Amino acid sequence: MKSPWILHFDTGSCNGCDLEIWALLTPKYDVERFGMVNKANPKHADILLITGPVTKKCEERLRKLYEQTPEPKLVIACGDCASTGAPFMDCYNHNHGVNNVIPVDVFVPGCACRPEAIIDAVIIGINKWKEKAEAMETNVSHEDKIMPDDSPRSDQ
Amino acid sequence: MSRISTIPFGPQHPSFLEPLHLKLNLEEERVVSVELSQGYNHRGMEYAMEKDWKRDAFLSERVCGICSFHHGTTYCQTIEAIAGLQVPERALIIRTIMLELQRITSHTLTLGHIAEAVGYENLFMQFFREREEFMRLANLISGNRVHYSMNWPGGVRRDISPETAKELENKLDEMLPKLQMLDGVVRKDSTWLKRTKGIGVLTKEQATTWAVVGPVARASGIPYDVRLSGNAGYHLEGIRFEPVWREEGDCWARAMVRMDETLQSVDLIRQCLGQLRDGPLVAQFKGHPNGEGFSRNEAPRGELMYWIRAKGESKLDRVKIRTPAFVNIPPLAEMLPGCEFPDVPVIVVSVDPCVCCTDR
Amino acid sequence: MTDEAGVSTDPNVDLRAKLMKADRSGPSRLICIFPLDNADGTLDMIYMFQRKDEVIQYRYKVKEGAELDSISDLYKGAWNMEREAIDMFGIRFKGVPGGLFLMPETGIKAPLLKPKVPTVGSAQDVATEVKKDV
Repeated sequence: MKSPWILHFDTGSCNGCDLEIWALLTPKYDVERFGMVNKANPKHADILLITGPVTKKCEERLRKLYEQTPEPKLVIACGDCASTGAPFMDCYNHNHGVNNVIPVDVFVPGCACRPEAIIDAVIIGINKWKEKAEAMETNVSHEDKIMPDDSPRSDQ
Repeated sequence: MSRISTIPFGPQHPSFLEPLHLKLNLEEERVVSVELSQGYNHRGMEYAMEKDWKRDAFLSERVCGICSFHHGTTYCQTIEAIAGLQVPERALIIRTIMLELQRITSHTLTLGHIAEAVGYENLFMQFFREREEFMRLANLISGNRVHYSMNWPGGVRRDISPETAKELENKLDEMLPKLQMLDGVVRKDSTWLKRTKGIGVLTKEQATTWAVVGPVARASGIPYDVRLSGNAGYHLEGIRFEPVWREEGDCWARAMVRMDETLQSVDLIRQCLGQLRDGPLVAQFKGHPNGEGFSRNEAPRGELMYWIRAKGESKLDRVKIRTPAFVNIPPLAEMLPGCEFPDVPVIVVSVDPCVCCTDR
Repeated sequence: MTDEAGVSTDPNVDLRAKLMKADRSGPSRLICIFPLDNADGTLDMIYMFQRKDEVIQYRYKVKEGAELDSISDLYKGAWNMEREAIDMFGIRFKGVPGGLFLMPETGIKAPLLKPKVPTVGSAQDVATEVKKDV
């Protein structure tokens, strides 16, 4: 399980954490050496990096992106506002954190969270991701697999 | 017989950092009209900032992460205008240094972003590599890469020690040739010129009707810069600068204005370091502000204004924030029609839409 | 900074004439249009302009929920500012739709109006409602 691909979505943050996520792709921190690439397609993504306390207008989009990303996936909530909604706790137009909308695996603290912390979070998350992938494989082996005889090509 | 096809752009898109929705109506490959949809980033900051004026010194920074120090400074300047405080000179100079440092990081970000939209990945990586040095400098002085939190109504909370000032000067000497090399690319490189010259033109009349501010206005022939009105430390003796402006009004002119301003900021920081004298850091203030006032500052994207009414208690009565991106984004409805579809990301990014500032 | 027209209470009558007269010597730059709530059923509408090196404010007292003329035909930049005022304060402008920031399905209406009597759908109620879910 190597080189997870990233999808980044900003659900209403101040962009401080988004800049740090962009800084990951650039020469000083350079996550591309781990194989991590920023693809904007949810069907290509393994890791969702979400920033911002989900605003009401972004809620539906976030749910759709989450559903479109195939399993096994990892959701990382970057920053204080994505984790708990602070410092915007008195604002009225948001959902106080990503885990109120979709399930989150790793929370990254900090306002703005540092790029090193995000890399740490991805490393911690990769173990969880491997466990999920193994659980998926054991589940499939118990269910009916599509045997070669049943495949459409064998009819021809 | 050509039909109109509608393509939705965003809010989750590789070119944009922030959620902004464009509905483009295309005929063949040419944009006929565009509808903008905002509000994805609206949290309700003006409501939250009414709760506690002391906390707002830090909450105002979280309106935007790219121009956060400008928000914090303008907020503190407004409270100082209401309370009649005289900020000490050393604090003004430290504020000016951090404002210009933030301006450099913001402009290199935008230029890198335009390079990525144009397809010039190498230039994008180079701009961000130079930007990392300035982020490290900001971290050295203030303790954080984003959200410096150095402001307090009446002055600043952290000092610049002589060693830090020396390191800042040495680093600027080291970075200037690298920025000048990038300036040569933005000015003359043929790939860059082919993708940005003549694209997305905003004439001077259009710029005046739409009331645009900042580099977008200065690239269209309106030489106005709020720093000339002398807020923060720009009125002090020994600090001189001229607004950078151009007349072409296309994407290239906007990128050139930002590149020239980056080099100008390096010069301004050097002037400020030369003017740093000993003195107090903050003017003491007891009690709560009472009255109305407003203050403006030149954020990297243009004129930022805070208007506050306070009634002598810990709550504020009204906080109005007028950000530069709020007036710079609507002219896209005039700049985009007539251009080709692959040019849309370049034009949108050259206007530098800071959606978190727009939606607050 | 000069403050003009605290006296007239109807911007529909007064503002357009003043602006057209002042703009004969050169266009002014619109800085902002925004309301303030006085918590007594009236709002202060403020129009800020820049002319040469001066900032000029026009200030009018209007009733809550009043309908004003839009100046977006003179200044295109006024369109979004008026839409924001509609969302945040519930004031109306002729020919200008709201819905710039707020989605009607969330039930949040005019969040920046000062609360006189707690009503359902006000910002306070929404804020406490969301916190209960956390």
